[in-house]
Order: sequence, then C-alpha cells, then structure tokens
Amino acid sequence: MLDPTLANGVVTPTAEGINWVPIKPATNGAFYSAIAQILIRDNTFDADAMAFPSHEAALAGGYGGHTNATYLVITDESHPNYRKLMRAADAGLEVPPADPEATTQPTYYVVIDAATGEPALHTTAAKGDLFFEGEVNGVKVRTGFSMLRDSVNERTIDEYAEITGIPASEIERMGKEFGSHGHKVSVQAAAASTASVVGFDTPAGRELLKAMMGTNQMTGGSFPAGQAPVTEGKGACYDLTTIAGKPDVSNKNAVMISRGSKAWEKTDEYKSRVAAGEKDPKPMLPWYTNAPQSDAQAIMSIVNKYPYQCKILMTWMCNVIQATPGAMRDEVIEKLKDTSVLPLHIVCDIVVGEMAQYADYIVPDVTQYESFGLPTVSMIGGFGTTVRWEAKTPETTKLADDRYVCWETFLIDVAKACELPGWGENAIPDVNGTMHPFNDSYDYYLKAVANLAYAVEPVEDITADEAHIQGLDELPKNWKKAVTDEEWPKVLKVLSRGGRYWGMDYKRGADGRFKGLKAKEAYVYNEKRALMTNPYSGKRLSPTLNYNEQMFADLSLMTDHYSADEYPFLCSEHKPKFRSVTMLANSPIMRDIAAHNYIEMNEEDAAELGIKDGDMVRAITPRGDVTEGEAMVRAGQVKGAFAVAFGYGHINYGAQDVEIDGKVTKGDPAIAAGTRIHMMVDPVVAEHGGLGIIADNDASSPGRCGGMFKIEKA
Amino acid sequence: MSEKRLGMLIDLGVCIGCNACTVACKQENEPPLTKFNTWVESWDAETEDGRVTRANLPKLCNHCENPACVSVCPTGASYQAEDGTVQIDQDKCIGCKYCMAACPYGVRYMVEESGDVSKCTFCHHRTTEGLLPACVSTCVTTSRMFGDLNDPDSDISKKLAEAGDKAKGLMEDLGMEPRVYYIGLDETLAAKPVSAVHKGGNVIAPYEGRQ
Ligand code: SF4
Ligand code: SF4
Repeated sequence: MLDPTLANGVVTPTAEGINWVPIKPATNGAFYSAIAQILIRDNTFDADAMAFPSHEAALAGGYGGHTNATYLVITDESHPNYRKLMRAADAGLEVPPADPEATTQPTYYVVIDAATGEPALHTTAAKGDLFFEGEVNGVKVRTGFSMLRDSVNERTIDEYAEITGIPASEIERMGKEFGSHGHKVSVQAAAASTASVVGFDTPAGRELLKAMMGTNQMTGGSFPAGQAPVTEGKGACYDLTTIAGKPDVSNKNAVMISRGSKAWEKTDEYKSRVAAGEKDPKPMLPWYTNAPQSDAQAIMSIVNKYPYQCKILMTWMCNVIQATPGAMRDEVIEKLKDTSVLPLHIVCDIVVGEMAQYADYIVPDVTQYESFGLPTVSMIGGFGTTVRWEAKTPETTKLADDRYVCWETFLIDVAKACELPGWGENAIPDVNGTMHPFNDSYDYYLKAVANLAYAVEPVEDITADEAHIQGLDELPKNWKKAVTDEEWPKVLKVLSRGGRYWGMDYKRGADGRFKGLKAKEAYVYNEKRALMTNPYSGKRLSPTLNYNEQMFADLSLMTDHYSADEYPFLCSEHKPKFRSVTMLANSPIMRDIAAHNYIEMNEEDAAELGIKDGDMVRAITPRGDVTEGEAMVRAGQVKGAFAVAFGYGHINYGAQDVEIDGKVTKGDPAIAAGTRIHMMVDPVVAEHGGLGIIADNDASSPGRCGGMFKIEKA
Repeated sequence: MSEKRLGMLIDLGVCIGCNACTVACKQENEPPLTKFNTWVESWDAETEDGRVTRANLPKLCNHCENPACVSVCPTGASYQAEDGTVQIDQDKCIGCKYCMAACPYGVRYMVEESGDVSKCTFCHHRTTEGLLPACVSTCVTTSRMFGDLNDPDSDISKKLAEAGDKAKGLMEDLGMEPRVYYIGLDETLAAKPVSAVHKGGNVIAPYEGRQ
C-alpha cells in the first residue's frame, strides 16, 4: 500500500502480507515509471499481451485485453500527421470496404506484423512488433512501446527513489514481485492522495502496469468490478433514459462552463480574437482539451464570469467551495454573494454548509434513509445493485398532494412549470412503448426497482407473510401506483432484500476470463494527449508514461516560480474517518469521537524544525496562504510532506454567528474546529487576469495534493 | 458456575480502526458526551522488521470472571449476572466510585447528572432478546465476535479454540480473568509505538519521540 499517510486500515501489526510504503504526494508518475522500467529491463513484462493489436487477437491468444503498444507513431516532424498514430492511408495500405450499414467506420492503424516483419493493419496482425523503429511508406515511424521504453528510462531507479522517497531497494523489490505472478497481479489507485496537478500520471501508470502483465479481464488479475443489471436506463420493464423531445445539448453545440473537452484554439473566443487581429491570444482561465466536467473548475468559471456568465447555479448536496482546495477564500465568497456575478443561486441540501450559506434559495432535502437510490458499488466483485429506499418518513414538509419536499419533488415541479419534456404525464415509456407519468420520486425509482426485479431471471413474488413481517404491506399508496399490479410483489421482494446480487460465478468464465468480455484497450501511446497543446505556452506533455514535476497552468515548473529550498514541503489530503467531505461537523457524537483534525507530520521533519507533537504549526505557501493546525508528529507520514484529513475547518455550517433581522444567533465554534488546506491559486492564471486553482492540466481536477509549503511553529 | 458465559473475541488482524463500533454504541447506549462504553485506541506501531503499521485496539468492559469492581462494591450494586456478565444495579449505586478505582482497565465512569457509575453492559438489553451487542452487529470486518464461551459449538468458542494461545485478554497477570479476548494482542503490544495514542481521533497520550 503506497500512500503518503498511513491510514487506519489493513496495515496492522498483525496483518500478514501487506506493507505500507510511504510515497511523496504528486510523484506517482515516478513510481509507475520505475516499475515499468524494471519490467522492461528484466524482460518480465508479458510481451505477448502487449503485442496483441486488437481485441480479436487478444481473445484468440487467450487474453482479455489488448494495447496500442505496437501501433506505429509518426515521428517525422515535417509530416502533417506528426505525433499521430499512423493510419492505413499514411502507410499506403488498403482497407476493407466500408460497411454501408454502419454509422461510424473503424479506424485502421498500422503495425509491423510480428510474423512477416511487414506493415499491416492492426486488425489483420495476430501480433505486432513491439520495438520497430524505421520507415514505412517513406515516413519515419516508431512504435509507442519503443517511445515508452525511452520515457520511463528518462531517469534512473535511484533518481525515482529520490523523487518518490521510496528506497531504491524497495522499488526493486516491488518491481520484481509485480513481474513474478504472471497475469495474477493488479494495481488499484484512485482519488485523494493521487489528485495533484500531475494527477493524470496516476491512472495512466496504473492502466499501463495492468496491461504490461496482461491482467485485464483475467480472473485473478484486473477483473472487472461494479457490473449491474440496467436499472436506471433501458431496463427489463421501463426505459428511464430516453426522453422524447429532449433538447439536443452536447459538447458539439455547447461549451461546458468548466472549459473541458475543448481546445483553446477551437473556441469561439480564440477565433474571434484572432479575427480581430490579435496575435496568439491567451485565455483568462485555462481550457482543457481532454477534460471531463469538473465542479471545481465550474465554480472558478462562475466567479470569474468566464468563459460566460452563469445566470443560474443549482447545486444538490455538495459544497463545492469547501471541496475545492483553494476555493474557500474571501475573493471567491464575495463573488458568490454578488448578484451581478451570479444572479440566482439555488441549493438543495439537508444542512446549510458553506455553499448554501451564499445561496439565494435553499430547498430542504431528505437524508439517505428518507430517499431512494440504486448505487452500483464499483469496488464489489459480483454483479448486482443495492437498493436504498425510503425506510423512514421524511422530516421535510409534506405537500398537499402527499409528496415530501426534496430534490426530486423540486426538480419535477420546476420542470413541469417550464414544460420540459420527460416530466409529468406521458413521460416514461415501458418496454411496450406505453407511456407512464412522472410526478413524484416513486414514479421513477420504483420503476428502476422493477427493472432490477425482472433482470436476468425475474425474482419470486413476495409472500403475504413476509411482506407483513417487514411492514411492506403498509407502504403509502403513491408507491404502488408507480408500477403494475404484476410488478408490485416482485418490487417488494427486491425492497425486502435491499437489492439483488449474483455470485462471482455469474461473471467468471471457465476459461479464466471475464464472461462479459468487451474490447479493452490500454493506451501505451496516448494520441489525444500527444496532440493537446497548452493554451498559454503551446507546450505538450509526453504521450507515453513518464514522471512530470508539478506544473502551473502553462506547464512551467512550480519550482521555476518559487524556491524549493524555501518551500520544501508537499501536502496531501485524505478522507476523514470522523467526518464526511463536507458534513458531520454538526454531529455531537462525531465531535465527541474526534474534536478536530491535525497537521500530520513526519517525525524526522518535525525534529528538524523543532516541532513537538501537539504544537500549533503553520504551513505557508509561497503566495502567503496559511494552513494552521495542531501537529500530529508520527512515523506514519512520509518525510517531506504533511497531511490533513478533509472535512474540518468550517467557516459556516453553524460555526458562525448569524444575524437575521437584527437578531443574532450564536454559532458553535466546535463546528469550526480543525483545519483545512489553504492551497495557493495559480500564479500563471493570475498573470492573465483570472482567479484559478492549481489544477491537473489534463483532467482539470484540482491540485489537491502536492503544492509548495514551508512549515513553522505558530 | 452459571450455564452461560458470555464473552467477546476481537481479531486485531482485521480491526481497521473505523470506529463504527464506537458510533453504534453511542447511538445504542447513549453514554453522556465525553464518556464511552467502548472505544478504539489507535497508534503508529513499528514492527520488528522496521515497518510502520497502524495498531487498533478496541476497548470496553472485560466482564471479568474475577472482577475487582464487584468485590469492592459496598452495596452490591456491581454484580455478576446469570450470564456471567458484570452489571450495575443503578438503584443500589451510591456513587462512591470504589469500583472506578478498583477497575484496572479504566472502563467505568461517573454520570454527572445522576451521580451513578456506568459502563458497558455487553448490551444486556439486546442479548436477553437474542440480539448481538450493537458494536458486534455493526462491525464492518467481523473483527468483533460474541457468544457463549461455555458452549463449545458457539462461533466464538470455535474461533478461540482455533486461535489457541494467540488469543489473550488485556493485563491477564492482574488476575481479573477478563472475558474479552484479542487475537494478535502480543504482536500489537510488542510493536514500538511511534505516534501519539488516539482514542477515536483524540489524543490520549502524546508522542514523546523515540525513546
Ligand atoms: S473490566 Fe473493570 S469494570 Fe469491567 S468487569 Fe473487569 S474490573 Fe469490572
Ligand atoms: S467496528 Fe470492528 S473494525 Fe471497526 S473499529 Fe470497531 S472493532 Fe474495529
């Protein structure tokens, strides 16, 4: 278990076969590169698995995944398709005739067929040559794998050890072990301490290592988790996803306010500024060519009124400013309060947290015990879905029509008032095309439960006895009307069991692979990244895995702006045990168990700074942001970084005094106890007139971990 | 000896220190704020091979076979029940605190409002109805196990038999004969503490550095 901070968990003095290996935040790319280097150096990676150029080839070879490691990349700088994967046309290869029925035609990439040594379509070769470098059709090319070998060899194991803080001997040990179990190995990595401005290196490295050992979709390897029958889509009984007359809004005709999935040079703003004669215009906030949606970036766009003004903001059960490192600061809050910046802000939540505090309207919501949900737990191995249902009468206001005030009720009524399609009468089609109404949350969720009840093999009807024992014969009338009389006893059966799960056998094929095998390609060469240019500097990031130092928005290194000697510390955030991300500080029980969090520091770092366990300390960024809290001096924290559990350090949420119409209600300072990381904003964005968080230049997600800090006694 | 002898077994190998048991107990038994019938102590612990691990040690009344708290009680308020558990008859408790001084495990506390002494009851009100104690039924890793130690076929007896001398009570040398057993207690206590000891998330013993 590599983690900057030793959490409570399975690494106990008595648990066997699991070790904690401290790693510095924002250095995962270095660790993965080191392991890949060892696998290549020792030739312990699975060369067969890496050489399958297509799903069909992998299947025929007994595997579950393929890679683009053998695809040729055009390396000729003067070629119009420089940095792209070579296509059939670039190589002068014939392609099969187009299928006139198909809506999209396949792309044909080029590999050197390992059997013949000749260029071939990736669809025809059983295996490609991993190492080819040379010319095809007069064009200079090389394989993605050969580029990977170079990029992971940019540094030595000793250098990777220095960067990550993991001893070289330990890296070697892990590299050897990872390469010694065939495809029965895997890597898990996600969230929290992996989220940094170079956070993209984490999924990139993780997927590479999984592919290098041929583990994908293999029993005992990287076996797919989190599958479930269709419940909230086109299910066995109802279609909960198709909306007749739904407005056509997509990335093609609209722009995400979070500036994702759009290259700066493709924006209307860029084009019009160039047309107006501006040379090489730069945006106020960065655009992210390949990023998905981001609430953190959206909130920064809103306060900057860029790329366009947000007229209405609606958030549900989330506290974006608290959850976005660096966003909970006066400059942001002032803008959120300013109606000329944000004219209408509606929050639906069960508590009044930092976000709701600045809203114009607060719609009360219900808790998890008072509402429905069909979550598929991504970490579980089997196949199935849990059903969370209204086990308790909601505490919110009951309306005249027997519905309770909550997010769904609010959405339904607003949508109906706006005459949006897909709500009210004739909204939800069943499998026969008959339309059903959508007037309350039962109309939706109980249909999803019906889909689950009839999935694969329909469940038995619940018996009258069992329904009675569980009190399911006393459910309110508006539940039953959501499904048919025939479906109702099966819906109750599923509710009585809290969901449906199938055993692992349902997914494990007799051939040692996932039964539901689907094409699973691992990118060794990331073409999308290869073609992405930075909006400020025009620089590019490596299309194959390597280690990236922390960067600002123009890809300049943080350490080019600020002194690493003066600001030597990194930080990381981790999930709190005794709070949620933004809630539970109002719970007297949780506060009783943990009054506050700590600034967790390595014992050697603390000794050097003369800091003792329990001292108040400050971590300060080069831009003057101050995180102050009580030091927890421990061996279970990596040297060179401090850690903070998030969910503490509230400024609202009942912590503050509130004055309404001259009447002051006193806040409870215990709710504010503890600290949160005050991350610096991006100085490069500031130069362009924007207020922007430090962020991952690929995914646009916030730089939660890493940063630059000095630490001193408070 | 009574026919039934209730006891608990906690496998420290799988206790992840989540404190779900602490919360479940707080909700079930409603001890006053700052008081706990059960809690979990956690600290960084360096094992012999130099690796740092996180130790978790859930604590509660051990429902001792030979409880000092019972023998010092002047009114008989503290007593051993039919099922072997140690209980307090609040009607007889005069708040003299002798038991609090006598218990070497520090699991008893005074309820300021009533002047009575209180502690973990092994959820007597639940076990008499055939339910498990709240902490056991909520434990996310089934680290906590509960049952009749006198019944060789109970899950807990079987697991204890299997664990052999790996299962120990806290401070057995004091002679209280605790009936809360831990698997992996020796290894946990042998590892060198290298952080403060936390009760839940609050420090109960600050870290003084490597001694
Ligand atoms: S742990 Fe203390 S209170 Fe509980 S039975 Fe033993 S001596 Fe008595
Ligand atoms: S609930 Fe179980 S795993 Fe969690 S701290 Fe308590 S005993 Fe340990």
